[in-house]
Amino acid sequence: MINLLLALSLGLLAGYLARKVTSIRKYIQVGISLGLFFLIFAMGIQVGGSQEVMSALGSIGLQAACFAIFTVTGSVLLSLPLSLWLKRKEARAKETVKPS
Amino acid sequence: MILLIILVLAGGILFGYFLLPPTFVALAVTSSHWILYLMLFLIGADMAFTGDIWGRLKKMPKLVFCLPVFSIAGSILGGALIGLILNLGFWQGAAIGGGMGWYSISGAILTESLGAQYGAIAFLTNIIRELLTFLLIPLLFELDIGIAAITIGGATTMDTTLPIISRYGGSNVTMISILHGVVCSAAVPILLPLLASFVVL
Repeated sequence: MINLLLALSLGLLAGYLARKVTSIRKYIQVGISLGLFFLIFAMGIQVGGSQEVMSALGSIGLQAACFAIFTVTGSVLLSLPLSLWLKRKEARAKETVKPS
Repeated sequence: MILLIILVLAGGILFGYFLLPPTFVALAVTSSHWILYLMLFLIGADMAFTGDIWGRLKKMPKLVFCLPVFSIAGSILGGALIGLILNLGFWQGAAIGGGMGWYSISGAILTESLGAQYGAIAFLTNIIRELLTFLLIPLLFELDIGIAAITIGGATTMDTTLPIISRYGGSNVTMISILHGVVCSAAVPILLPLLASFVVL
């Protein structure tokens, strides 16, 4: 966790130092997209290559899938009012800025 | 895009299951760690390019910081509900839901406190949650439901699922996502033993 935050902070610092060279930003975004697919592929390999996971899938896979769906739905439903309220607030803030 | 994600993910799973010898799987694990570091570096740099992070963070409504609370509560409630439905117990289900997608630690804690069966379900549940996050994030951001979309990633929104959230949500969402992940990650090791301790009552 410390390593991850460190990597993020170093990136922030590097981006701040290079903020004048705006042309490299599109390469950064291409890099993020490419890395994303690599990560998803590697995640798949880890799941498929793990005997522990694949054998558990057969016996408790259905239960685990139900848990995953219910917990995700719970999280989204409970935070939805706050999320929609924030969205409305943001939209209103933009509207008030427009006429000026 | 979502189709491409499904294809890449399914390809990875089939590849890992049928083709790759274990040494290559281990290689995929280590290289994905390094790729993740590199990506967090890039995400940080991209955020810096959008400028004035501190100012934007200060301008956000303070209620944004409550997002992890709703996210965790919802996950625990959802877990408790399905625990009752599947006849696995209310508090047992709540504890599995409290894992917030952090499969390694939730599997370990629940194996110790509730036994191997619950540990295994928690482990697998949270792996599936992480996979679901990769599939659902593009969809939820398209539905335009705001930052509630972040919550499906649970504790992983500061690391493994941050790249995809950042890709679809933009730099403001990235900041909230990191915050959400940090709070959830800090809460899991405290919440799980607590929830599991209610089981005997």
